[in-house]
Amino acid sequence: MPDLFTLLFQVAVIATAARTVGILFRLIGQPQVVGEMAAGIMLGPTLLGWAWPQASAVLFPADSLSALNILSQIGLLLFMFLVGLEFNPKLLRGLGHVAVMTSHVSIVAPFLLGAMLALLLYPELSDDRVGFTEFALFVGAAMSVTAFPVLARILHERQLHRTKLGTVAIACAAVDDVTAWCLLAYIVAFVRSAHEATPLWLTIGGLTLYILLMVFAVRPLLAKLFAPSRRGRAPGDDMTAVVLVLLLVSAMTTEWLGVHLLFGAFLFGAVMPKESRFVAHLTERIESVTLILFLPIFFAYTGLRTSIGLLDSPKMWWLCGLVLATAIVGKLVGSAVAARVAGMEWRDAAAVGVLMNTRGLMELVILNIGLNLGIISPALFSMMVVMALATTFMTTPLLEWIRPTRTLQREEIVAVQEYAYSER
Amino acid sequence: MLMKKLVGGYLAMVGIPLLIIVLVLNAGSGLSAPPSIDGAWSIQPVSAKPAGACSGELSLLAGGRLVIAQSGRHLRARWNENPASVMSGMIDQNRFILCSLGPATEECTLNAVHLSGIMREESGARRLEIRLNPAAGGSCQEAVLLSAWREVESKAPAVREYNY
Repeated sequence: MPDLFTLLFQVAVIATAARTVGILFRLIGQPQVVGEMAAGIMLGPTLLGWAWPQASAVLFPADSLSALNILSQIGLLLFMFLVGLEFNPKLLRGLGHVAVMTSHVSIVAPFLLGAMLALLLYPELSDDRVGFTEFALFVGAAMSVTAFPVLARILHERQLHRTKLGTVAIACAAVDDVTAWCLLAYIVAFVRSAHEATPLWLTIGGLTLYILLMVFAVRPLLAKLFAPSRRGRAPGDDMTAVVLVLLLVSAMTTEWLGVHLLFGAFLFGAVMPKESRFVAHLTERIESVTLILFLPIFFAYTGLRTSIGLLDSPKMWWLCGLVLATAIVGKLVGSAVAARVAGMEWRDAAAVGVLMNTRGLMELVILNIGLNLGIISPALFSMMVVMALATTFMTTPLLEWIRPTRTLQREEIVAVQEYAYSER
Repeated sequence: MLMKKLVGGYLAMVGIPLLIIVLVLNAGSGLSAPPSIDGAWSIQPVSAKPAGACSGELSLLAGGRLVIAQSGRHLRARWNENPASVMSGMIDQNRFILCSLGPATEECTLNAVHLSGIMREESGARRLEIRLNPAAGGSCQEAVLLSAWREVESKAPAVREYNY
């Protein structure tokens, strides 16, 4: 039976540490979320466990971690629902060749490099319980993800979301996120089916049917349900309760199908009608508690599973550097080159590459899934957490260097379609 | 002209890498990873009788538990949940070595207590044959032989429940 007092104490410490470190990171021009991620790592064996092991043992006794994990999963569930809510297919319409080319290359290039890196990592950092195919697919998918929520926040904080650069980056990141989650769903189903009774075709078939049901049946129903709020009537608590219960049902369904509960949460958010006032109201209600209380718990749980101390030889640090370099070359360079080929100026293309290189929270979510399933080992998990933090941390200073805010904000806000179809 | 350039660029930057990914997956299917010895192992001494100056060591080890966290070739292990007993080591094919905490190398310092062993597979279950090599200069100078069975045998990737 988990100790309630210990759990509450943990949550209080985590929330305080996350907010404090987040504020410090904001002072140096970094987004709040990067500081919160760093706070989570600091609370784990990398810093607290190393510098003050007695305090770490008191704060995070082994038998308390399961309760912390459950809380973090609930927070992630709500967060992925919010990510799905933010995803608007209208972002993609009429964007033309720039966004299509850039988004597809920004997935394929790091995926390829990740799969090639897996040839080196597999004999060194994996074991015979994991096949090379699932290992390589996972490493590839982990390399190709972009943190759509963090990117959106960076753009909003810098008032860049309505510029040409911002709209293209947002659209590409949205495509990246959806694709990465679909890839991950397949990989999870593939791994689980290899070790459980449910055949893969049943899982994939069931998931396909479920997606079709959500898009073509549930989505129109939700639109009718929220129609009154479009006509100005404020939604009530009963409606909010219905949505939250449906969210849980969707998450349970995908978990039962053998994919992952977070995919169901994301999917449900994605099919919610976007124009409704209710969505804005719902987001406002859920966002604060999720971002302030629950997400830091996830960061702390990730931090508890991250041990930089496992990188205890020059060879391990070299592999870590290789993981980081592969991630940057695949994503930043790949996206920048694609955007340039599609017609953007070099500076804008480089800025798109820098933004797409932001991996942040989405990377941590995927890595935790990989570690839970045993696809990646603790050392590789730690290396990729370092990669996620480093690539997210570098975004703001690099962006400021390549495309200073003052130059971007002087641009007129142009219609996305006009930009996408401009002749060169 | 622009459309031709874009289609060509798309095929070069998306189509070709997709083909290469398939080739990489094919090439990698022949690779092998170290055997998994990750997990909790129950220890029993091979010799039923405590032997002379090593009786103390044997008594401590009998019925003990070795928890191994494996990252490919790299090992971390803890003895009987004792945080002070964390060891690091390496596995190469089916042979492994574990030393007192320090940089993991193929050869341990001979002055320190270290474990060396072999993983054997019998009827689908894995067993470790471990040799506990005492520290130089201690009262027990005989290697102690141990056998270990994994507490939970599963073909699925190990659920990570520990972190060192």
